Amino acid sequence: MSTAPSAGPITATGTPSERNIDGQAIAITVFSTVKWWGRAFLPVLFNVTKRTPKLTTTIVQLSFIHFARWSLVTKIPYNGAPQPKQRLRYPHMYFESNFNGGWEEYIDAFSHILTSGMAAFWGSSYGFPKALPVGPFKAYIKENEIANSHYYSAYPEATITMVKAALDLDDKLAPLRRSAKGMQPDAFARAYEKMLTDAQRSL
Amino acid sequence: MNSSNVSGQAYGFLAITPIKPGEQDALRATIEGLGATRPLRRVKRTHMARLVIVEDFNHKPHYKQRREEHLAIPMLCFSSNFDGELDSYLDDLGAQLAGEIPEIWGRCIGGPQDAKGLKAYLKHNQIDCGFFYAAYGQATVAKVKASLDQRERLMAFATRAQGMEPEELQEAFVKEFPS
Repeated sequence: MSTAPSAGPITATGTPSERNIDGQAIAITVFSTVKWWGRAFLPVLFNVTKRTPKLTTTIVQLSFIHFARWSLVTKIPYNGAPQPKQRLRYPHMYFESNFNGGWEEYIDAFSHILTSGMAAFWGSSYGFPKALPVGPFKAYIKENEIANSHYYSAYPEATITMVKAALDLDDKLAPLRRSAKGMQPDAFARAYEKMLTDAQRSL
Repeated sequence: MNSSNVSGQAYGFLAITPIKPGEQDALRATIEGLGATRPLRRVKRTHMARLVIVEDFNHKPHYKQRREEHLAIPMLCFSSNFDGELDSYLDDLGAQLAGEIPEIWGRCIGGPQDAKGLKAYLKHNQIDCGFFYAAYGQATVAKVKASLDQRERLMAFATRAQGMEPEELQEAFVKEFPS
C-alpha cells in the first residue's frame, strides 16, 4: 500500500520517521498482497504457529519485540454510502510490530535469524524476494511499509529487556516485601542479600 | 471472542474504517497532531497503539501480480494492544477519547460523532488477527509500569543501602517497599 509522500515511513538516512517512534518503541506497519493460495495456507500457518510455542522460541529469545501480529484481510467491512462496496480479488496481509532497537537491526535479525519463518509468513505475498540476501528484503519492506500518523506506547522509556527484567524482579522481590516486617534483622539482612544475588541479572 | 486475538491476557485489536471523501487531509492533520497530547494515555489499559492512513494497495511491476488491485477508498487503521476483553476496553476508549472521536472516527463513513456508537462501529470494522504475539501477555499495563518503577527504586535503594546495619537496612526496606 502507498502513503502520502510527506509521511514516508523511512527517511533518506534509512531511519523510521518520528511518527513511527515513541521513546524506545518503534512501530512498523506493512501491507502486502497475497497470492491466491495464501488464502488457504496462511490461516493454517497462523494456527500451527499459535499451537506450537516452539515455533516462536526464536522471537522470544531475540527479545526485541513487545507485540506483533499478522492479519489476513479478505474483505473490507461495508459502512453504507458513500463507501463503494468492494470485493477484494486478492487477500492482503497486515503485519505490525512494536519493537525496540533500530529499524535496520530489526530487519537484519528477521532476515538472518528468522529466515525460514519469514519465508513461511511472506512467501505467499507478491514480490517477496526471500529473506536472504537482506538487501532486497529490506527494499521490499520499505516498499510496502506504511508510516504511522500516530504511535503511542504506555511506557516509552522501556525496552523489552527492561520490561522482562522488571517483571522477573517483581517475582523475586514480592516474597521479601511480604515477609520483611516480621523478620529478625539479621535474618532479613541475609534474605535481602540472597534476593539481590538471585535478582542480579534483572537489575 | 476470537482467541486468535488473545495472547495471555493481552488483546490485539485492529479496525479498518473508510475515510469520508474530502476528509483525508483534515484527518491526517488531526492524528499527526495527537503526539502533542497523547490522548491514549487516558485509556489506561493500552500498552501500544497506532493510527495509520492507508491510501491504496502497493504495486510494483517486478512483483508480477497478474492484475492490479486498488483500494476503493482510503482507510484508517486503528490498532491497539491492550489488557483484558474487548467490550469494556472500547467502552473506556469511547469515554476517554470523547473529545477526539468526532475529529477521528467522525471523519470516517458511518463513524460516530461521540462516544455513543464507537464500540459498535469499531467492532463492525474489526479485522481479526491471524497470529498475535505478546512477549509478556500475562502482564497488564499497570503491572508493567509498577514493576519498572519498582526496579528503578530497588537499584537506587541497593546503592543507598550499602553498609547499613541489619536493623537500619530492614527499616529502610520496609519503608521503601511496603508489603
